[in-house]
Amino acid sequence: MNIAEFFQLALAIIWHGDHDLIEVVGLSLFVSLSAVGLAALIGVPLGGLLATARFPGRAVVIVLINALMGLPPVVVGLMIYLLLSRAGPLGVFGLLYTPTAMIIAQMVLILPIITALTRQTVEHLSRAYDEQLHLFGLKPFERTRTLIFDGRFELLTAVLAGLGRAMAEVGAVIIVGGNIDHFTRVMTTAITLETSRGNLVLALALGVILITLTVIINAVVVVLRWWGERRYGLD
Amino acid sequence: MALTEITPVDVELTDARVLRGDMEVLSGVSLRLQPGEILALIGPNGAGKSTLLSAIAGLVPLAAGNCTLTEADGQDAAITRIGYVLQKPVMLRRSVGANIDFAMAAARIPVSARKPLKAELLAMVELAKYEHTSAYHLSQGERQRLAVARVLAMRPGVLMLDEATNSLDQKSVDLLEHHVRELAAGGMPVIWVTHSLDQAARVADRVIRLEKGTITHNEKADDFFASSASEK
Repeated sequence: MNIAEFFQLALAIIWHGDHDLIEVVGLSLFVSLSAVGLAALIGVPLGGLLATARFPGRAVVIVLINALMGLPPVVVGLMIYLLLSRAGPLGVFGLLYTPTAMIIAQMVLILPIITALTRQTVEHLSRAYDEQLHLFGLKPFERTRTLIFDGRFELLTAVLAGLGRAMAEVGAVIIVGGNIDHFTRVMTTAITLETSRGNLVLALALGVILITLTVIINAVVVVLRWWGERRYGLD
Repeated sequence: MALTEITPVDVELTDARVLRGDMEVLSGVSLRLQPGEILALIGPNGAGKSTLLSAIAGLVPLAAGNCTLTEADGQDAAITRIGYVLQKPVMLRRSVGANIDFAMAAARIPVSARKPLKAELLAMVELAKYEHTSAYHLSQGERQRLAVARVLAMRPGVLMLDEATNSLDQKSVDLLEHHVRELAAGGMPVIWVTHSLDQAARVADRVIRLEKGTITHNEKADDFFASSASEK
């Protein structure tokens, strides 16, 4: 079979909507979106605070968070594995090899990305807003909240960067999820498995879906940001 | 809560000195604003006019001297009682109405008073039809008017305008001058930074001229313009 034939068969699998395929795609989306949602809930306020608060050691924290953006997924997977394994401090919750463990691993991976990008965005906005917000007499927390709200369209990009990393991630989720069929198998782990098995058609079908979803999510965010900038743009 | 019901804040600056790096941008500046007085602050670029307003608003620290902002009951005035229209005001990325809502909430204006106050302000600066329009879509002149409305939404006790009519057409200038005179008549002390001597002559009760960070003239407007005319 040549590459064109592989693609034809892969598209046929997608077209017929194989149940297993849908299940894998559904779980992938659930895990990645949950991880991004949780990371955004923590990372956006944290990044905002880092941008506006002044405290001893702030520069060290910023350097550390920037460095954590490049965390190796397998190392994160291993750390989460150790925490969640029976002998680990969180072993009592029995989360290892569950989608929850995969969400935790992805969240740990993308939290520094969302935090660091939020910090940059809010700090940039803060330079323009500083005097005006002072004159509104806002408390530090209110100031941060205002900057995050006014930077909401730029922050979409930060969240998108996190989502991109989560969707493409394989090392950590395979360690803590185990790639169990019908339970913790997601697109990236399934692609790895099917490729090693020689089932290239199914791997390719999953790859096409993964790339298509990534493009669609990116397009939606780009349109949202474009709309926001046009409507509420910056001076 | 009509706009002309004003509780003025007493502003006193004593021997103020402001440094930017090693450079002295204000040196030994003292002034006291009387309730209902419109003070025109004039001078060349870099004379320290905006710095003086920033010092009063606490945006720049004083290297020496003192600035007191006191309410009628003797308490220190909150920052929200200083109505400072910046030379380049930042529009919040929301609608015109929401910009005013934000200012009223920041100044803890009672919720029941907000709707009529907003309507009054929007009518005053002739932006009522843009209430739901994003502030970003306003022209420079309209933004300047919104900035004035937003400051007044906080029910300030002193009004400071930093070249607030730069982007306005003559009709809007006349309108703003008219409203500021009304506010002053209600007791609001006003500092108006302007490059226009004509404007100073039209609105001011007193003129302060700054040069290189020091006050060179501090006179009643009539005296200032009479002496200026005789110098010519």
